[in-house]
Amino acid sequence: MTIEEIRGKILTDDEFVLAELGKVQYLYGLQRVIRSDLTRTEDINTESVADHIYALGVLAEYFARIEDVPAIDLEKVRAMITWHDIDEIETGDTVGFHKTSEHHCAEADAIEKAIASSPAILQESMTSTIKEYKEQKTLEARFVKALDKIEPIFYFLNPNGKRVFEVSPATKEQHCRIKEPYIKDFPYMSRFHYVTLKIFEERGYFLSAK
Amino acid sequence: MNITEIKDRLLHDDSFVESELQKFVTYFNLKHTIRWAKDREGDYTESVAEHVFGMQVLLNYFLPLIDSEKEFDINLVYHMATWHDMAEAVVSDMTTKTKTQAHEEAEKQAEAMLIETASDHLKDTLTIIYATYDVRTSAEAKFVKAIDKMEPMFHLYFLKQKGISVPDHYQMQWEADEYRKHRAKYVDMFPTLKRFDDVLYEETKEYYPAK
Repeated sequence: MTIEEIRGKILTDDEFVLAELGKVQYLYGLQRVIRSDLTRTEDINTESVADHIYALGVLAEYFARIEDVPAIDLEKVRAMITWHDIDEIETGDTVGFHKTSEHHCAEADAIEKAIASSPAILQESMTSTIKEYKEQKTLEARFVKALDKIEPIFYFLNPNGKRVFEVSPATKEQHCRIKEPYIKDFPYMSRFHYVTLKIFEERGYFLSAK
Repeated sequence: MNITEIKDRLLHDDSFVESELQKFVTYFNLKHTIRWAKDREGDYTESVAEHVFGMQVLLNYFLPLIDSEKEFDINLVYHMATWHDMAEAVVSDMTTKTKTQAHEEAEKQAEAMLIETASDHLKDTLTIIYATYDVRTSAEAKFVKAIDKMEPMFHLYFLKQKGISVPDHYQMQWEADEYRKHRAKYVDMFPTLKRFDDVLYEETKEYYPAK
């Protein structure tokens, strides 16, 4: 299939979107392969921020070819992916729709601290990369932000993901509010969102809105 | 400090290497920062995905030091880091020490299967990546392989600095010098990497079984 044919099928064929989603989810398998001859026994398969960053790398490989972004600077995309959550070293992870203005202030302080704690050889590129990401003006920054927002659906669309939703519940409005403003300019990512949204609703993922 | 000064200090100043190592400990905390309001309750295992993340951090650091003339194909370097262990999603992880020829052949078959079953627009890329990485003749492939061999040393140091008892959680299969000799084949051609390897060997040798 050519890129044009793949694009056409993503835009028109829900089953094709789900088949592609399954292939990408297969690559998430490395989040579950444990190194050093060890096993990880968990009630719910957790995801570290490092696992999430790995997944964004896989999604970037996929969507950089699908979305119509021929001029995108992939080197910059990869640097943004590596550093975009660096503040969480200090703050830990907070679910997007629970973030308050206090969280955002703490993020800014944490970024400053993380950069100041970094090797001199990385500081300049980290500073410019994170600044560009936060400003959300360039194609690369908007692309990585959209990936960051779409990534959880690949983690959620399975029985384990349903259980994560039970531990960390969300309404449909919360789920969509933190994604749609960022993915709306990327038609193929949007298709993955809207196809999975229907399934999340059918399978009772969401809290009912009061 | 410019790149020349940083390289010079790395090669001659132990305390500078140790201060740089502390910074990697900071980044590796993201392996233990768990999303979606969950935690791992004392489980300190490492997924292959987390290892790939560790490699990406190390690539960011070592690329400007090792490829100061900017001759490497950087996209190829990062592609290889993302995909180099993907066969383990099919055949699972095996330590280098215990890997058999049969396991290596199974990995090769898994790579062929990954290419075959990949989304159509990724097939060509994966074919090039595995062909380049597996023969290891290009500078990029040699560099990524060296980073792959070094990342576990940074991970061990990270665990040590976090106060996690390595012997309680990991069973080391190599004797320290034997493992160092194995790494040397891949690492010693890069002086800055070798320098970190020398320091990390001293910092972590207590964790390996005695001769």
